[in-house]
Amino acid sequence: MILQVHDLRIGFGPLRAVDGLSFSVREGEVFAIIGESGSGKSLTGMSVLGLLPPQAHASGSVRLGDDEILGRSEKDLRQLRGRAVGVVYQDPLSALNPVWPVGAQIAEALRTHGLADRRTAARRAMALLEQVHIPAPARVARAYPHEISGGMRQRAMIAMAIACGPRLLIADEPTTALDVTIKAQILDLLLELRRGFGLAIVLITHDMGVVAEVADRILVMYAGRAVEIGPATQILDRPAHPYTRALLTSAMIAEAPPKSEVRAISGTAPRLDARPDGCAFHPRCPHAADVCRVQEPALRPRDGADVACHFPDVAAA
Amino acid sequence: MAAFLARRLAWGVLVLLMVAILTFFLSRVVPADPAAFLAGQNASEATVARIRAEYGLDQPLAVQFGRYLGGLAVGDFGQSLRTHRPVAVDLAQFLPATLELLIVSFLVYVTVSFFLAVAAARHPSGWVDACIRLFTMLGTGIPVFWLGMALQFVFFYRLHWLPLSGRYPIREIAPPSITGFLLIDAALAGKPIAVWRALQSLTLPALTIVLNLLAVGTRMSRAALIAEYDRPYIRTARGKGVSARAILYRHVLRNVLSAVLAVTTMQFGYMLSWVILVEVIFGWPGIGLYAYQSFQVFDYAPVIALAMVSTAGFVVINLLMDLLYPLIDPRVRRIAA
Amino acid sequence: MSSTAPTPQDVVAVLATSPSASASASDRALLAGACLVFAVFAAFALLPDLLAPYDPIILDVSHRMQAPDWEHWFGTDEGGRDVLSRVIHGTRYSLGLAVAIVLGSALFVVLYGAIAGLARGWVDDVLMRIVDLFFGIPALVLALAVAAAIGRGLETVVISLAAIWWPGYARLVRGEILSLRERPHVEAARAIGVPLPALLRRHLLPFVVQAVNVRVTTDIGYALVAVTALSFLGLGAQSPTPEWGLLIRDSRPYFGSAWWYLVFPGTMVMLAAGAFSVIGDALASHAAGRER
Repeated sequence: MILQVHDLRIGFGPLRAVDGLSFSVREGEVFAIIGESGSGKSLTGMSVLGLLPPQAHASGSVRLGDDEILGRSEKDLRQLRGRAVGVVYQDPLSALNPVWPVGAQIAEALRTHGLADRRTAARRAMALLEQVHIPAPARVARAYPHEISGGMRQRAMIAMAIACGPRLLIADEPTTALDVTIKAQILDLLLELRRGFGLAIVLITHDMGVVAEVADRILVMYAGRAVEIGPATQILDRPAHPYTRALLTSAMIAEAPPKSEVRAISGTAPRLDARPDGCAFHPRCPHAADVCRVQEPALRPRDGADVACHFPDVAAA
Repeated sequence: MAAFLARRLAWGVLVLLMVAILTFFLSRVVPADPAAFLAGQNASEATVARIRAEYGLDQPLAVQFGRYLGGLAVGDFGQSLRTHRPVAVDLAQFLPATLELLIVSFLVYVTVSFFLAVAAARHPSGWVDACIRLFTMLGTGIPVFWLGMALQFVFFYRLHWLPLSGRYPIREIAPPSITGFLLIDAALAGKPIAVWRALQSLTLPALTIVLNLLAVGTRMSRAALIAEYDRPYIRTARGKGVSARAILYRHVLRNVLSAVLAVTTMQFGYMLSWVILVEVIFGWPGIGLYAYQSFQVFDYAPVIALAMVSTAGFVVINLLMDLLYPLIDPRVRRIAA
Repeated sequence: MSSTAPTPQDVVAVLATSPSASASASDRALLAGACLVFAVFAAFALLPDLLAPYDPIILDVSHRMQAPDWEHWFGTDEGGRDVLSRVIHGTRYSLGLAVAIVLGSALFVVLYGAIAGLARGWVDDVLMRIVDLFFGIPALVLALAVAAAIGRGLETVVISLAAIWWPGYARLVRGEILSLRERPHVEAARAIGVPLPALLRRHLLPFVVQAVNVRVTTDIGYALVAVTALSFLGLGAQSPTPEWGLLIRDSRPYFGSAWWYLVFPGTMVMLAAGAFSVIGDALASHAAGRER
């Protein structure tokens, strides 16, 4: 197990953004966390790095290998960040320093962890750019972020994230800001890195299409909780939770149940301060019954996956 | 790049032209009798007539403007009634004092401002930051001339530490003028005491300007710093494990430079206004005091000249700053190219 | 200067009005204090005769240069006049003039900025270049030249300062309109063919007014300082008008020993400017909060 999260709770004052989340990620697997914005998935990713906003308070356990992240000193966390776990963010244009050449930013990752001096770092930065299939790496290394295309920027960010050889990569919406064709290339790159380095990837996204492409296991989050978690094949073929099914149909996935119409999920995700009673999804669920309005469903095993729903069988019908 | 420069230069020329038009308007069109205006209050009929002929004030406005512009181009600002010398000569004599005051004030400001910004950024919501916020809040409302007088009150009248006015103690002999910058001249003359005396006289006027600059500029620099810390690339850097210190110096400061440059350029404009007030209060013999004293006796050519020179100075500063932007911010280079 | 990239003036304008504090309890207390100060000064400006204990103009040489005591809270000046009364009467000349100038500039200029923002293209370019030209002239220098041409007095102050202030508002209004026209509700209105005047009135002006309000409030402090500076140099109000800048100027021969003569008028300027600054800050935070 490269990552073990147990009963993670993240809140802002009285508001709960993540409410008792548990999951684990194995070495070399692609673990996708999918949910709408506001579901708490990004916060979960950030908690692995210890990079929660200052007003947030977290409890539970987040274990990266042998290291407990929550409550760790900033000094220790800095050692882990970049080295034990890398991050790739959504919009590479704003996530890269605009006034530094790309190569220097990659080199910074190496130098921060004392893995190379200036010259060696520059060379290795170029090698990394090659590894992520950037054409003309010498030119790109000297270029500024705004001078290269979006796809190349994201590759550069990935290069930066894996520079120090982490075992885990957190990818927070890595393809959301990219064109459709580039999306596929980046996903391929991530898979290639997984194969080549045995890299485990936590892929955070709201796009079921992306998940369907690359995930080994999927965690579906809603309103700060896990509603379904299990192997990708299972979840994509036989989704048990109504929310998961809705996500699949609205994404027009080929594996979606037959005879389902393509429709958007009505309503919006609940605000942090306006959490519905009982099952948080019940206002938007077409199968909601009285018990759903009153009692929060627990995460229970069902047919190879875990589901938090009072009527998973009804939903699957 | 060359096209960018040419555009900025053309812009500067345009500004100067507009000020020339404005000053021409104010000195030749607005007054009921421009000849009497330029001749001063107590001028005789003969003098007025002479001025009228000399300046060609009975000729059509277009011709007058042509002459005016021609004069400006060669640095002819007319004659001062008070000193009976060409204004250009007077300006040359008094300009070094003003420049010395401006340059020293500005350098001190930049240095102090830098350290303050770093201190505030390293301890956000710390006591340094709170002091700064208090200071900027009070400081925006302090008139620079009042501040100068308050400093005189404390440091001269009460503590007797520093002189009240002037560039050098009256009873002592100033070092021979080589560059016109007293600090440098005193150093060249090899007299440490002279340097010290010059410094003492310079302190209060410079301090007045520096404090005012800090009050205005710190607020904005602080806002720029705070905004910068919110940017996504800072999160990326933290994700790499970069220390807070390195983030501040390597990432944040480097990126706020262009915002700071914008603020600083604006400060210069303010400084050019404040220096007149400071020179008046401290009796500092610069072009501000010169123009003001002329103004008081209705000798207006120096006032007009000051308007042109100040604006020209500001245009030059703006040009220099504009040249710095592309150097600092690679994104601007693309627009400039 | 490209008209799409943010110019230095834009950067500065944003930084100058960005709220410097969050709404904590001490900040709320500060705001309350500022409003109180504002109310006091408003009273001073509107009802000076009622509030001032003595006459501000009449000389009373037997009581000259008295330090502050229970009879004269702010002491007396070289003519024996009560400084407090002079300060109270001076409010409408200093603060009143500052308010008038700022408001006047803002009102005048809304149309200018609106045209630039709505028309875009070369009209916008030309209008904004004219604005930028004005940014290039140091303020006091211009005032001196204007005073030389048309003489000293309140008209000079008004003209010089209005000339200094209007470019800022023109830019502000134009910037607001430029960002507003991209907003969904404006696009929707245009799509259904709402005519221009109604568009302006209903969809654009409310936001513009809000932005201008914030700026106006903060600017009054700066304008006040500028007004007093001009009077200090003798360009504006003339003796015996008890304008605050004039008071400070009159104190110059005496302030070494008569500290009250210098301190109190200056403190009034600082208090008034500070109060408007705090209120302006609060308005800015409020506006920013509503945006979100």
